[in-house]
Amino acid sequence: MVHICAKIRDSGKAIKYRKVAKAESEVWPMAKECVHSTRPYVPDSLCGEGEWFEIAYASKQDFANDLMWERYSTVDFSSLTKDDFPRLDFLFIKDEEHIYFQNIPRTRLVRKKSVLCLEGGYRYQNDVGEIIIKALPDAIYSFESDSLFFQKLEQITGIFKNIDQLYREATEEEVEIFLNSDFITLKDSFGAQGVKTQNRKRVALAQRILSKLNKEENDGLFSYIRDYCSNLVGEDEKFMIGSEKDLKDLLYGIQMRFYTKPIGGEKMVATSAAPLI
Amino acid sequence: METIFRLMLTMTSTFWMVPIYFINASPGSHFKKIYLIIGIAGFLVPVIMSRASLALLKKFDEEDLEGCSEIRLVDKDFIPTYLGYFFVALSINDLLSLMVLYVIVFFFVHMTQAQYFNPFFLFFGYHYYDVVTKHGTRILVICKGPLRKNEKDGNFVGLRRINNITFIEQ
Repeated sequence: MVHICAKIRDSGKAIKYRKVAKAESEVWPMAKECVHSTRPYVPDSLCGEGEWFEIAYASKQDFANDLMWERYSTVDFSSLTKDDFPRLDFLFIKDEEHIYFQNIPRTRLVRKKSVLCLEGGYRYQNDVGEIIIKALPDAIYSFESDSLFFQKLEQITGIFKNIDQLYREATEEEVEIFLNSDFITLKDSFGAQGVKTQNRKRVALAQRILSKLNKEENDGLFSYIRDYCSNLVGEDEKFMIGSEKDLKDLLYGIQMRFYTKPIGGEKMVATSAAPLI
Repeated sequence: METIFRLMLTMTSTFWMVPIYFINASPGSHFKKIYLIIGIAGFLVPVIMSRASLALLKKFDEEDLEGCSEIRLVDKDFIPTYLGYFFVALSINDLLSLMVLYVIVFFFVHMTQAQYFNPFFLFFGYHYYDVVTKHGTRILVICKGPLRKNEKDGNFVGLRRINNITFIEQ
């Protein structure tokens, strides 16, 4: 028996949490049942089935939510009213050990005509506001380990403000600087403004990697990239970047995502990679 | 549904003004007996409605509250309110005034969320407490059972929400 609560969008200093409804049965599986394994978050990688990313010291971060340290009771929250519906931000359920979150995108906050199938039969209503509960929560916070678990960062940027700043994209200026690096030649009038979100994230990461290499390691890296991306190499040994795909290949190269199978010698690229712990 | 329930609670809390008027009024001699009977019978109405409200409340969701920083008994704070109803009822002279005044009192009690100021709950063994939660929220809890005084870290189990600032533990 749990209470489903929600946060609403509101200005002002009053508590923005509301009590929504009671659920007699389990809404989401318990954390220990759905989180089979965890690994620290690495941008631009994907989780396998049952695998969750983890951010440690969650309550100390900028994006932390006061639910993590304020010991609220449902008694502290007012009940959600009909007028509050368009202002819903996210749902959460708190128990002794965890908080389970689900984001509610603004597009879902529409009242629609619906035929409801309830216990007493069917009923038509012309303005039903409904929030569908997903099979798994978008994020789980553990009080004991002070960690936040999630599978897709994009799904929780609505709940935890500025969480993506931790793994931010490069700004246009930074992308401009990167594209002007001496190992890159731009062609086909490709420029910083053509670079989209995914590549921007990779540029930020690539800058970090390159800044930590010494000359020898740098040369070694470029030779490795030339090996795998021979199509990118121009006459003067620089990389010719004319499209998003070219840029992506170069950035993957800087992240050293290319590898060759030990048996068979097939060249591969890892679309998702994380350190082996 | 909830609005109807709150209106019912308001009526339960204020209705006893009516029988007091009937007992106190001095109509012509042939009406006196009728008035007396209406007056005494009239008291049964709020009693039955209070009992019914308590039974209906059992259907509401339960919430728990742990670790309150303050619990204060406030039964006596409502005495002026009850006396107010009492004196208003005594000072009315005719049925028309009764109806008008009753509507006004009903309106005030309902709009100030004071539906629970019900002396009959006291007769049924409930007490009123002013409680401050761990987070600092101040609520009113109507609670059955022995008097609780001066608890620093009290717990309430099975609280039912009457409105956002009033709860009842049964």
